Amino acid sequence: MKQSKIFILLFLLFLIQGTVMPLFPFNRVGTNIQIVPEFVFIVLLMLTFFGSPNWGLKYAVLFGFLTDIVYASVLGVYAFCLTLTVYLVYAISKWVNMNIAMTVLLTVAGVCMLEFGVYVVYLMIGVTDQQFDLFLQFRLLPTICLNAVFTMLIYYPFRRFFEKLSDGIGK
Amino acid sequence: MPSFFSNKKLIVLLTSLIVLIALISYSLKEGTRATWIEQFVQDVVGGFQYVVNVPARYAAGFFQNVNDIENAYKENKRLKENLANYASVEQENRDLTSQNKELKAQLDLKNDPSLSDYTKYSATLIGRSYDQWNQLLTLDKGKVNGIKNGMPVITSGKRLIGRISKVGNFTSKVSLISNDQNVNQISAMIHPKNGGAIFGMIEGYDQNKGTLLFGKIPIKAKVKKGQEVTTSGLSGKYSQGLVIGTVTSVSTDQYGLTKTAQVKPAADLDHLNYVLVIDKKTQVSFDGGKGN
Repeated sequence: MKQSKIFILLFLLFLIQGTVMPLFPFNRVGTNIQIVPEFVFIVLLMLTFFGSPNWGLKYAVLFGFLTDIVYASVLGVYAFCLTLTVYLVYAISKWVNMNIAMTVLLTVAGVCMLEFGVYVVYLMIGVTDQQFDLFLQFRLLPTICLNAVFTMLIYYPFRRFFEKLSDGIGK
Repeated sequence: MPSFFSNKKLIVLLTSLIVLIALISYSLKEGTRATWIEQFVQDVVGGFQYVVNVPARYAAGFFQNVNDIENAYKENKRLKENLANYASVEQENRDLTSQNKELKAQLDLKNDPSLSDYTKYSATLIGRSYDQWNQLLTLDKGKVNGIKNGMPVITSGKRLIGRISKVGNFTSKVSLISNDQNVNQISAMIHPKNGGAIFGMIEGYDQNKGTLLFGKIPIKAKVKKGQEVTTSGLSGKYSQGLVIGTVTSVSTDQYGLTKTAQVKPAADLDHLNYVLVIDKKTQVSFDGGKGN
């Protein structure tokens, strides 16, 4: 029952990323600016921080593959990068004291790592040919801003939700 | 102290790297059709996307309306100016149509559909890649509705936006012309007011400028800024006469043998809602051209 709650939540965010976000006019500010919502990734990170890391990694693989199939043309890239990033950020999070500032910092670091990982793989296989300085300037910065704001908004309700869940299932 | 990668984790990492490379090389293979797993997932997710998309579009439509009201006055002014020409253009059009019909009848071409004839399927956009490296759309029509791989996709006014790259049973994916991977080789042409057509190829997309590269233009051709680029229909994949865009600048390519033009896409690729998938009535026989 609790499993399905998390799944429904993640799946809803997954749909919002692909259907709702492209419709809204916030990416019309400039032609060059690319704002990428990574909501599923952020919630996965919070799930590993405050809920169960085990589930977090499993869902990372699952939603990575879903992203690959539904929103990308090359299979496997998101599944790999998403899982690896979630694991690495989780490994770092074990050494620090979690509060809202730390969580935002870690998610921002995670978004950077994920974007950069996918960028490197896509650059190698020729899905994109964006230059590195443009990637930093027009993509990474606005993306970080959006996702940091999203993390701050969801921090308190989601932390409570995941902590309540993890009491039931154990780590 | 916990280490980042123990022995076991290293093995898992390496194995998944191998799996990653295998998957990438599989999906980069030319002309790969969607496997049944992909089709299934795409269709199931597509159903949910459809449900989420309806209220979202209403909400987004509100913002669009506010925008439209702002622009309405300016647009009205411009349209009034254009309207003056309308009557004469219509008359000319009528004359030319009847003339064309007569000439075709003389040539016995009546039952032979031309390259520009096609049937349309209308479809709604239900999803779009949120990372802007993959320029893919998901449509709510699939195999059941008659959509096939490789069909061109247009918006109103015959403006080309891409072509179908993967088909599920109830959904299909469109690879936009702004997609770096398979933009290559749309045969295109410019029809100047005087003189013959200029042929070339759409060879790529410049993400920073938002323009398509129209290459392989003969060096002597007179290409000017503002000319309209359309599909030529020569490759047999795209029908003739779909509008691609307008030329914004022209340069000689690096070897000095051909010219390359920057073409601004006619369709607004960022704000698409309803599209048309078109199917040519004549199937030009070609066997060699697999994939792109």
